Amino acid sequence: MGQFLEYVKMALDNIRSNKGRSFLTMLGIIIGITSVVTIVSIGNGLKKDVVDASNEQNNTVTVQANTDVVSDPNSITGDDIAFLRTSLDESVQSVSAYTQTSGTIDTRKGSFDAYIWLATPDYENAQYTEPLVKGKYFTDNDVANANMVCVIDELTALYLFGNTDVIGMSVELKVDSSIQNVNIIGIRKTSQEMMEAEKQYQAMGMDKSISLEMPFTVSNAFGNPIEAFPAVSITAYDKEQAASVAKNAVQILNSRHQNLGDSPFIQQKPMDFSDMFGSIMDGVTAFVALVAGISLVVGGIGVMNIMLVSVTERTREIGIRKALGAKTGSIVAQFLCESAIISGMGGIIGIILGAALTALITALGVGGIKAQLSFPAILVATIFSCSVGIVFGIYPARKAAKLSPIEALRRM
Amino acid sequence: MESLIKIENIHKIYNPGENEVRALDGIDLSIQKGEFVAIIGHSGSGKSTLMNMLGCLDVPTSGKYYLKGHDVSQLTDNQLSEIRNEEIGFIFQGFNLVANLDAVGNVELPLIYRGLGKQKRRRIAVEALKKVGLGTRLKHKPNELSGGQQQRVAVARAIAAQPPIVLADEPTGNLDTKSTKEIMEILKGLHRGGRTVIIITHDDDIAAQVNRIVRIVDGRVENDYLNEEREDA
Repeated sequence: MGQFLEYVKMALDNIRSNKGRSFLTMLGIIIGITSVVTIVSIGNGLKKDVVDASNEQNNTVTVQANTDVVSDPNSITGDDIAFLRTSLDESVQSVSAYTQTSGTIDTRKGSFDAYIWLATPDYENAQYTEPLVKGKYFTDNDVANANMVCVIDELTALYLFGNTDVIGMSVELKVDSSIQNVNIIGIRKTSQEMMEAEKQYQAMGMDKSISLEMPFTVSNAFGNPIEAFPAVSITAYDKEQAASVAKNAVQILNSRHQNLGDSPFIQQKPMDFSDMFGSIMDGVTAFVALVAGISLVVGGIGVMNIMLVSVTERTREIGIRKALGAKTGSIVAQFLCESAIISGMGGIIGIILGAALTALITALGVGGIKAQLSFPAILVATIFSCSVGIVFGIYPARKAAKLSPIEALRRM
Repeated sequence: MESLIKIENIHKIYNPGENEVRALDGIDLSIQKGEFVAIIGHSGSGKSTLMNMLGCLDVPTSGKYYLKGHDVSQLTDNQLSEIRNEEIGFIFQGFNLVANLDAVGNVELPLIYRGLGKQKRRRIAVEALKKVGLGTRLKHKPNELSGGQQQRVAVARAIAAQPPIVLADEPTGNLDTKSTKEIMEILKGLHRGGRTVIIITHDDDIAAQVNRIVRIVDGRVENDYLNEEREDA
């Protein structure tokens, strides 16, 4: 330990007596560490923004049959949903379920393949839906009477009729062999994004998207009656309530279906977009940091280069030291300390600059980024910069230590 | 009495094969404790190679070197480093001081490799510098000292660790008359103090000041005699 401090002191003396050169050598490491720390911090901030934003939307939960217990997953009936709606009334915005089928619609403009959502009335306000712009949604009454009514979106209206002023009109819908006249009672907004996407699909020659939302009981008329749904979506007023609402719903369904076995219903694991996006973000950050990390390797080669120059310059000193009793290990330790200290100091300066840059980016609000300093990244940067010094210092240090004292003393 | 240094039939051959150079060609030599010896010869005679052998800076191609009765002719680099540190104080023609260390720092060097603590090292180094008359130049770097002063720092470095042998390779080769006289006085003082002092030189005037002269010609000992007409005692 005492000896080690000796080498540290020797290294510091030598770095001090070559200030300019030592700083220029550090510069490579400084730039590398600064960029890695800054990039990881920006990535961190972006990820946090996205995860926060997506967490805000997670106030919808889905309860579904536990397929390990129940043989037929379609076991949530319309009655169950109506019951849930009344039981949970205070705490939820909507309790909805749907199933899908398809058919064709014939109009003067031609024949279209149509996508049919067979839904419960609360589907009006389910997650990821756009608001109605005209008319109204179907009601419990429509469901009870299996009324042939539908709600279509603006895009469908445009495709079928050329305009959206179509409330009260009807379309001829064919499902399997059954043909029904369906009355249009409401128009749902089509989002701007959807409009844009559809334009591109059309350009690619894909079919026009025609979709209808209808009371699920109309399935009787199409000869394929729907009694039950595989899952029910419940949207609470806020995220905090969602979990307890889901628990309640599972309990209610379980007690209504005790004949199906032990706990036939479970909460579906929410599709966690925040996790997915978080890991994508992590990947991108890691990649960019890796690219920046290459500059660290370049910096390390700079350290190696200057240490080699230093060994050549100090050949005589090495000879003197060896003549006076320095062993191979002492010379290696002396030069390794020097390169490790140079790159370690570069690392520390780099971290400070990186932290400053992170604070600056956040303060200036460039692109609305709230960069967040990552402590694991700082730790890795520190360890990495020191190891760069040691790894790239080994070759010059060994070269120095292997010099024969006679050779070294002979050279001027 | 066992010799301090005993060399038996030492050869050092460079480039073995066609263009081989026999720098040392069968040297026998023994030196007792407390002797004051000059090894003299022209450049190319092999005296520097002999000095490298004696100083454990190099190992012979063949032959034996017993230092205090131990065979050191085939030791490893690290073992040789240890012996140099313990047994030998070097004084070189070109002073060989480390430029960015001050006088004390230079004298401390062999003590660092001996593993002494900072306080102790410093005390010994300052003591040694006072002995060579540089008590007022402790913090001077080599380039702030005259040639004679630099060589005195080197002498202090050679004696600080109290090695039994002081090996001086052309110690006055780069010095003016006055400094030469100073350094020789210090070396004589070391001899009087019981140290074994070996000077390698090509200068007969220097050789004339010692007790025993070993003349090397073409890698062999040409003659080895006691210096009866020594100039001063």
